[in-house]
Amino acid sequence: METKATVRRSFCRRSFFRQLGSAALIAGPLLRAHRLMAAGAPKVVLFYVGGGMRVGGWQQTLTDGAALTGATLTNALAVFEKPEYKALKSRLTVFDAAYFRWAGAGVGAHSNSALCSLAAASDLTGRSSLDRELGRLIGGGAFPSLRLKVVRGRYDHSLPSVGGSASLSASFADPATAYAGIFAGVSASSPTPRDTAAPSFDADIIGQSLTECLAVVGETQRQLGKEAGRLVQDHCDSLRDLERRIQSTGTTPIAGCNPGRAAVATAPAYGMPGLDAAMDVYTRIAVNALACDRTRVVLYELWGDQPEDKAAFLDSSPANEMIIHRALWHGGGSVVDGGREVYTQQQIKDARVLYYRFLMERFARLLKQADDLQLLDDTIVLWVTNEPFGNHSFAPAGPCFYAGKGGGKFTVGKYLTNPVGINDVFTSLLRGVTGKDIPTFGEDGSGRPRYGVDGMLI
Amino acid sequence: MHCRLFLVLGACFPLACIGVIGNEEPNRDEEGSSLAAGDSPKPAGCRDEVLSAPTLRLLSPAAYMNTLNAVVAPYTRVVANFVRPEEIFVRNGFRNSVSGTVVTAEMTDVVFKNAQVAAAQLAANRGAIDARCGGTPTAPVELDCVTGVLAQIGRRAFRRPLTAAEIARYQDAFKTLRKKWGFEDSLRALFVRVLGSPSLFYRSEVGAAVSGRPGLSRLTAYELASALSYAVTDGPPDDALMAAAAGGMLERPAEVQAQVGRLLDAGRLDGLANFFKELFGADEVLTVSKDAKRFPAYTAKVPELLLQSYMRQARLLVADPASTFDDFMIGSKALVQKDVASFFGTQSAATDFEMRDVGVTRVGLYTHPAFLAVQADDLHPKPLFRSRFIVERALCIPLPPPPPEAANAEPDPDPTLTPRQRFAKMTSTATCSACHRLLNPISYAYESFDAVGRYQTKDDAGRIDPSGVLPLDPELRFSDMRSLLTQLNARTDVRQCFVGHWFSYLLGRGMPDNESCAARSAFARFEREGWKIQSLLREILGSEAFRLRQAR
Repeated sequence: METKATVRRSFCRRSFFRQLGSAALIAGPLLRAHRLMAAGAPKVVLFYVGGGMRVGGWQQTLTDGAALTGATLTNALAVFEKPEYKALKSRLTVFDAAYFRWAGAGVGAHSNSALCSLAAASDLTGRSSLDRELGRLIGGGAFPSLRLKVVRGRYDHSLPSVGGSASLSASFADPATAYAGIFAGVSASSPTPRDTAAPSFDADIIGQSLTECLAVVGETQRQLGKEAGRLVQDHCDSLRDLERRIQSTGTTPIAGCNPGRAAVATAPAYGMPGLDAAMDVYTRIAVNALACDRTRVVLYELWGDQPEDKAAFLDSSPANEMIIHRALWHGGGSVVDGGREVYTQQQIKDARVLYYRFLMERFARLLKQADDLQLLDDTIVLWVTNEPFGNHSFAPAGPCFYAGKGGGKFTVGKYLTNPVGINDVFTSLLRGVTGKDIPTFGEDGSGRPRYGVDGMLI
Repeated sequence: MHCRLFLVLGACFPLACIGVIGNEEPNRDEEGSSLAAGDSPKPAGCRDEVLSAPTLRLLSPAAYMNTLNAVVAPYTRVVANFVRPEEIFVRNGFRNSVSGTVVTAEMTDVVFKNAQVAAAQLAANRGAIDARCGGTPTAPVELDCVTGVLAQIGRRAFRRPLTAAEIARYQDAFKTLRKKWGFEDSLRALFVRVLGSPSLFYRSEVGAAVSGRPGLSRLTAYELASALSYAVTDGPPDDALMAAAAGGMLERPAEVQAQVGRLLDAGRLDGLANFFKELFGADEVLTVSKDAKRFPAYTAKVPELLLQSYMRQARLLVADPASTFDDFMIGSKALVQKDVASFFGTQSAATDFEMRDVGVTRVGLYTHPAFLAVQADDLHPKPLFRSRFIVERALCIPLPPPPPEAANAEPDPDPTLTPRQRFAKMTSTATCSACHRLLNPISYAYESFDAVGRYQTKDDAGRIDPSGVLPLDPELRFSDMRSLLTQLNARTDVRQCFVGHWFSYLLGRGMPDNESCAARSAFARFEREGWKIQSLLREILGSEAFRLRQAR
């Protein structure tokens, strides 16, 4: 018993120093939230892709700390060598090794399940603890000023033109309903605030609501105290945001933020001819959500759970006969059906490379659209995945990218090989975005102090 | 995808759940004052109830929608296309829990948008306005007219008469608006204010001081009317309940019981039926997908039909006065129709739901396919996750999140082992076994149901052995799920747990102390009246704990 305790203590100490060392090394290039509190409202996009990003032989060759500018990136980041995306390379920072071990989240105790949970948050179904955590932190409690928008870039069985029977989500089964969810009541037929009568009347309406809200806050505080009043105060704060938005649309419209019109524009595009078009629609949704003033956090989820059907991005490849098979994501072994080897390991590897190359292009497109709207400086787009080698590759570190300065709080253009816990990235991310420390994120139940990657214990 | 498979295998729970099973110290709210003696006869030796704190409770999305529709319906024949707010999920509790009722920015957007739509409809209904005002009025009579209209709307929206302060500030607001805008627009702006008010989407449970009983407050008549109505119907009080509140009749316990009986008899019991939905997270069946090749019968319409089957059964449990705890735990009948009958192991040609005996392979809601399909991935069941529901929801033994060591220690699944062998191997360490000694045996029984909830005697790994030994006091040996549930059904602590969950749900708070006077009284009546679920509900809804709050 004593031995165990000793081992545990030394492990913790070793972990502590290792983490502290890593944190110190990474401190420079990443967040400097506490020193850079003055910047404006940063926004976050979490760009999640289901497991298996680290395809064998698909490694970066840069040394730690190297600038991404000028380097010839191949494989995963090859898309940024294309002329249209080349300028974005300097806006990108790469973690070669983001450990998912400590992400915890209480979902089966699994480290990388934090990222799975993050994906699950897009369902908002609350089955895992982290999506509730995320909802609590962002949507309701700790950071009422953050607005979480969920964009599911999932090419799903249920998309009508694709066929199939599986149902993904009641609310986000297609881009049109995604819009309804994302823009909360703004549908293709709804007028935008700009299209409604006189902006000043809208301002009067929201002003009435805000006055009413503040009156109820006063009454609540009298009856129940300040803490209870704070519940309602959150609503008033949101109304204030709404007021600002309405005022903006009446005077200086925010570039790209026009949900009503965007929805109208989306409708014809919703023919779902294939994965490519679907992704474009979702990218547009994500950028629009970003462009709207109140949207501060976008979860852009790309799942690898594809129908067993040919995918456009494979058509001109050596693997053009490859179907999108489960083994693609599980990453191991050949696919054997009835004693016959259907797909070899090499075929599966080829398909995975193509698939992730395809997804990286979506990442690049999202960045470019955001940049074209001059949003990228205020935004940090974080690409995360899980289970780097495919299914059941639990502990290894996987690549993790981010782009954008997030309102000046994030350094870009670096390549980092130091291992870092993904939850620590999240904590630092939220700290940088909100200026607040959070005592926990993901709740792995260990009681472990949560490290940021900017050299501070949280 | 990866996550789900992992969830089947990876759950490993820490030592923190060690305890004397069957004799746990019940959870008690840490804050709060105790109920003083003197309101009603108490069971001998019971402990004082820890009362809920006074608070505001956010309406659930469904309750909010019901309320908004109830406000608008009398004034317009047009069905308003309101947007439903997204659900807010509450950790380890029901969604109506006070601790989870924090308004989100998303909801602010929705509420404001809906208020605009509703206000436009109301303001456009000149008939109602004219009836009150005698046509478009001119100053100075229009202020009286508007006040009258607002009093009507406000009473429905806030489930109580407007206060003098509210009326005064609405009048001031109207005067200000009227200087800039026409009558109808001014009225519309004011309607938005009322219909977007926190007083609509929060309901007050503050109460008023109780004479001679310091430390206590009692819900006002209107607060109680709302509390009863939302608990039972998930909607605002109807005219009869509002009239009873206005007439002061809800001061009398007998009248409260009568109103509860009336609501139960009226049959609109969404609030009560939602208890069962949330207990098992059954509505999540709409969000999970299944492998189309493996389960071709699980077509796109099946999730919705399974949920309908589940919710209809839940409604029966609360609506049928004869429904008992046994029906919930070990009832052998289920509602099926042609598209979902096969998931219950039966057949049906009916297009509408019909009651069928499915008891050969499954009993009660713990084996309903809507629940089982949620606790599964697209190919495989998640027996450990299913068993967690039995431990936490039936036995009320809390399971903490797994420790991080579990992740480090976890091996890849060995395909040569059966799931049962894998579970046993993975969880044999001291760290894991504290909780898994409970979870694993139950999971063996749950292996008898595949990823879409169908009964199976073998899976990919071979023949299933659903038998096990649950280390409770006394030890519980079972041969299969039916045998397990039948024995659990006979346990007192399982029935106490059920009572506790109802208290938690109806009062929007944590689990009560089983030995509290309120819980003991409810349990006693539950038992005395043959474990009828309605008896339990009548007792809780009529209890002091339901009406009383701590004083501020």
